[in-house]
Amino acid sequence: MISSRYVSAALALIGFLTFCAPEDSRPKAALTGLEAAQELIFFGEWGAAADSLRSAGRSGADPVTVGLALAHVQLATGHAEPARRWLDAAPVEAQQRSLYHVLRAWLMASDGLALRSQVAARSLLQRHPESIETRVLLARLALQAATMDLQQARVLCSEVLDRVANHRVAGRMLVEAVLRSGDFAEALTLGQQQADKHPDDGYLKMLVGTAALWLGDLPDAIEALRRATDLYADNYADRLKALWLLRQAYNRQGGYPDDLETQYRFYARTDPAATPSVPHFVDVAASLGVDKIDRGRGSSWLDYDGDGDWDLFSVGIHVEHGLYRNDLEGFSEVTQVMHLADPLGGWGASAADCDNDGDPDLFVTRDAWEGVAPNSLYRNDGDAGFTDIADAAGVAGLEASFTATWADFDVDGRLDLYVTNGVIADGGANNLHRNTSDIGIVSFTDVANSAGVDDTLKSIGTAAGDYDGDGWPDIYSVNIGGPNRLFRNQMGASGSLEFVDVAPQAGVVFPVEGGYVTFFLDFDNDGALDLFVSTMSSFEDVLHSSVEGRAVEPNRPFLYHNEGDGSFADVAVLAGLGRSFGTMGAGVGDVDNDGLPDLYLANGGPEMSRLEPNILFLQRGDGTFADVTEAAGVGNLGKGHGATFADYDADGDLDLYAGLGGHYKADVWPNALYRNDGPVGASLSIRALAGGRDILGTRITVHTSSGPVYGHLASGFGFGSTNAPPMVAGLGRSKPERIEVLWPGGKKQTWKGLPPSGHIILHLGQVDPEILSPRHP
Amino acid sequence: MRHPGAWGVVLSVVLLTGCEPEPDTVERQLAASSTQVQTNHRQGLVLNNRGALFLKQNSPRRALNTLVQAAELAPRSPDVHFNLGLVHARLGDHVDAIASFKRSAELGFQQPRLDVAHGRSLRALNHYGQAAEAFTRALQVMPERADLHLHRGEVLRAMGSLDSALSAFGEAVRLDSNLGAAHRYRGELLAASDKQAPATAAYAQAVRVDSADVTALVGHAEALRHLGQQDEAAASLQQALLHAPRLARAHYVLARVAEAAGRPEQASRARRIFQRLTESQRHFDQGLVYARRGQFEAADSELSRAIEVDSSFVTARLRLGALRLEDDRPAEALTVVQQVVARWPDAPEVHNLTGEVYLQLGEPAKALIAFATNLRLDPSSVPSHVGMGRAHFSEARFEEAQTAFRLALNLNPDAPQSYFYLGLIYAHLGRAREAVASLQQCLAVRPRHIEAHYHLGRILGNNGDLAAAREQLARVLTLDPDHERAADRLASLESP
Repeated sequence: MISSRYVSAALALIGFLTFCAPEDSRPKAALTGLEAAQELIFFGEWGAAADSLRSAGRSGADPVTVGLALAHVQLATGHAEPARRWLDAAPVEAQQRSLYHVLRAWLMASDGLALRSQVAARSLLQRHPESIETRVLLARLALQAATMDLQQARVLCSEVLDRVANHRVAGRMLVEAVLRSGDFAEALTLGQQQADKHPDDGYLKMLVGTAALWLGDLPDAIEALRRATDLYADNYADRLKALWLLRQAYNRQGGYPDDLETQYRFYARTDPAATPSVPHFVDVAASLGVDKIDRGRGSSWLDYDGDGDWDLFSVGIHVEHGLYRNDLEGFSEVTQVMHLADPLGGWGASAADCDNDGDPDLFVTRDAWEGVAPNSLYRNDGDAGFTDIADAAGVAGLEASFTATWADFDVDGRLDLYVTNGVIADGGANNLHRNTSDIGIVSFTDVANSAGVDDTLKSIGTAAGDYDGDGWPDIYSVNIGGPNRLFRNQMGASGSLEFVDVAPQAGVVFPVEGGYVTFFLDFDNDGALDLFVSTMSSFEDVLHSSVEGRAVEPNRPFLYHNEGDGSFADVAVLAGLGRSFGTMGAGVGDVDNDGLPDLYLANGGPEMSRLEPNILFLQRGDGTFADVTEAAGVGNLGKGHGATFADYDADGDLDLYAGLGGHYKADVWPNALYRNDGPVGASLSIRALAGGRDILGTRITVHTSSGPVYGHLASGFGFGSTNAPPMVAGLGRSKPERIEVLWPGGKKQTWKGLPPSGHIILHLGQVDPEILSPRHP
Repeated sequence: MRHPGAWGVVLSVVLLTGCEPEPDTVERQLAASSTQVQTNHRQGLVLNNRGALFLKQNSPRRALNTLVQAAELAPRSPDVHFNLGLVHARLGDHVDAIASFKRSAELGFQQPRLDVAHGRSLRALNHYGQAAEAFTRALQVMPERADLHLHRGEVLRAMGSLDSALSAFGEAVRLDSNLGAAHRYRGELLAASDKQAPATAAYAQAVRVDSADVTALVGHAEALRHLGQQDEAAASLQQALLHAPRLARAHYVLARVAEAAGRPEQASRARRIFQRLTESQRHFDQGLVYARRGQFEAADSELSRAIEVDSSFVTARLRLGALRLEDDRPAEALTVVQQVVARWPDAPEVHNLTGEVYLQLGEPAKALIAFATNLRLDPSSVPSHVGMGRAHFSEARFEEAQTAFRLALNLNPDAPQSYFYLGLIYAHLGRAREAVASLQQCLAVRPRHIEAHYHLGRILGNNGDLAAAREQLARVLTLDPDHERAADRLASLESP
């Protein structure tokens, strides 16, 4: 029995402490009305703030003040429409208040007009220099893609915190800005300070954990992420993110400790099927000097110097390009020497011989999400290096270009170029640059409008391929937030370069929301080009589908099987690809030489905390794919983009180059070159040349003892990138019997007397294949 | 005294300087307190039993309200917290369920039922590892429970422990050969490991248990196809398609079976059907995405396209009708539902939707016919009874309306709309006490029912209970600050 005197003393102490407690941490119930609501808004407790405001309204508080504050809460919680309605109907008196104008500016930002919002907010700050809400809005804008200024975000958030020490939103944004700037130690310290002020804030704990992870401070990362997991106990999506990051932290320590509680483990649904023999890859980029750090975008394999091996070209955002000459023993960087050290960088990087002089040229697109900028066409001048002739040739443009694809659309022997534009929603129309070059003069004319392919949606990925086998290359174009297009080439029927969008009839309109990159492939070797389209899903969906083993429709890749009658069937789910990924780049190549193309998905997203592995899907023999990432060793967590294949070491199997790097400057990863160390089956590397040149659109059919293997030569697909031209035809255990090559324009030739494996060149008009010696040259 | 902390000081001073009570008074106070606690506890247990009964009677909302009260009165009863957990789980609130189960365990509830229920809620929240632990604990006490082996197998499979999962499913079927799901899971895992013959046998068992298990039928077909038994595979697929003619996967597998069997025309036909089904499904899914975002026009376009691609897609048609009703276009919704009724008069829910459309069009007589038609097909359809009640109510046929709502409540004692309308009916008939009781029951099930609060406030106010009326009307304004009727009525109550 406790004495009442002790109970009294305890109560007295409680009362005393309550009286003396710092103002900011007083129980919120102690404050009333508008004052309480303002406190709650600073704390970021929107629900309680809204209740408090309504209560204040009923108690007779100024309706304009209450209305403005409620609109503020609505905007902060993503409910722009009710806020807009109130502001539209607000009395004149409301327009005298600075908060009214701040909210108007905020609405502009939520309508996608970030720049206008920023201008308005800056003007407001000049008139009302003490306004906290204006600073908060400007800081939000400084963290958005279109108006990104991390330093400014830091300054603004610091100013807010100087005035309101416990401003939760400003605290979060400050840590985010510092994190994105790459000051991980500072982000960790700041994050911990903010988390101490808001101990129940799971998001701050996630930021601390992320900063610690980037810093390599695994104990702090683990502690913070465990706490975040606890705080997110009833928030499934965020808990999954915390669990995922925690898994990455433990992975770096060698895996989960045996005694780790189950609530801190991330269980991904594994593919139950037995996987075939999986080749193992080793990242040799660093040892070969191709581990460029450039926020990796497009890449191309080309033989720029005509010595028979495959050189590498890699681009990144606002960083000089990288050109690496392949010496078979290794690579030498020759960017400067070849005059390709263009500091503008780029996005898509495709290789094609646009001037028919026998050596590949390079096309680089700009500037995608970063806005409008001219593209570059680097003409290969041999020993003299490369020269940017985009302006002169008429392909520079001034759009926000993302990817491009090459094909001879009018089959006149000159390569044309289709460019996707408008991803920043500025209505930029896609280009179809028809090659009108004459001897010595490279020139193009944009005929997109007359050809009917000047799509003004937010176009992002594109690929060219003759899907209907009529000899005229067609175009597939991926749009974000709109239907994709399958532009069927009508030139064979009409005689003029025209296209008609048949995507609805063909059944290839999807994905509508998050489509990204695309390519044609014949995944089942039936002789008809199928179509792959990736989807960029949210990290929540990716993690959720990883746990559940299936996507939330329609957030998944699409694999369209060509039915041969002009239509396609979406078989992605049946093929085992029915999960969500943040696929920003993708590549196709037969990595195990079984004759069936495999897929590499380069994944990620802009958030610093989004550490999503790239995925290798190996095709089994039954039309399904198995995720063999772990066994293959290619699950890089860097944000993947331009993934391309080449047998750079001429050992008969395909190696993989992955451009890696994120949206923010701090999100840097060295590009990876994964050398294929097998085991793989036998292969025949085939290069089909006409007039000594690789001709885009060439179709190769290798008839083997166990069925045909198809290949086609394309440039500019996936992340506007290019594989090395030779078809590495996987033979498994079968023997090649004959090879048929069909060139654009209808020329055809068949070869027999083939070696069982190795490297060959087929020259149009020559009877025998040219058999290259091992480890050529 | 504005500063809250100051009260603490005052209280402290009073307490410290106040007279110390005499010992016998303290003991009397303590004794009285103890008695009260015991009384509360007993009451709590009574409510606990009542709550459990509500749960058995399929009235989880009422069970929840009762058990919450029980927990307040008997906070240290493990049984109360266990039942509370069951109710939360039944309502899908698994976070709350887990908290209740944990509390129950802390208080000493040791029955394996707790592990089973806890495991189910953990599984629902994808806490696979903890769920597996819970089921394992339960199995230590009840190793003969085949269903627990099945649940354990499911979570092990989800965790990727496939060998353990296979073993668990094997144990499940050993104990109960009629657990179709366990057979099916075994088949799936065996097929995935390329053990097609045993997979076939497992799937066959699943089909034996449930001949309409289309997943098992398709899995069976795939395994048979791998074994080269194309005719048997085709037969299995045909059976699946009898039960689920729109199962895209079945058509796809049928195409492959037909190809392998050298029947190209059949293969081509099956492939075309597969394409049609999947394309329409994609448009349907996209339509749902737009509908969730309130983009009605885009949703309408996608759903329409889904129907255009596959005119037999009844679900898409019904969703389109519902969308147009939601978008306040009842005439257009009517067109859609009439098409469905004409071609598929037995389609589930089409007549209910038709009734809703007619109600919105202000044609209660036709609505009645539609709801009655649905009841002929499904006599236990609660929405049909509620719909009939609303139709009668709109025509002031209160007796008939009461009957309909009572029938609805018989089927689902938790139906808030039934209580709501009964409340309005009683109010019309001047039976205020019953009106208040009904509306309170409505609110017990759905505490945020704005109109129920409003009418309750109105009736209470009319009957002189002004304080209670104000409380209800204030609650309306908390939920919907723009509710003009509530604001006016509150103002009139507050004016002198």
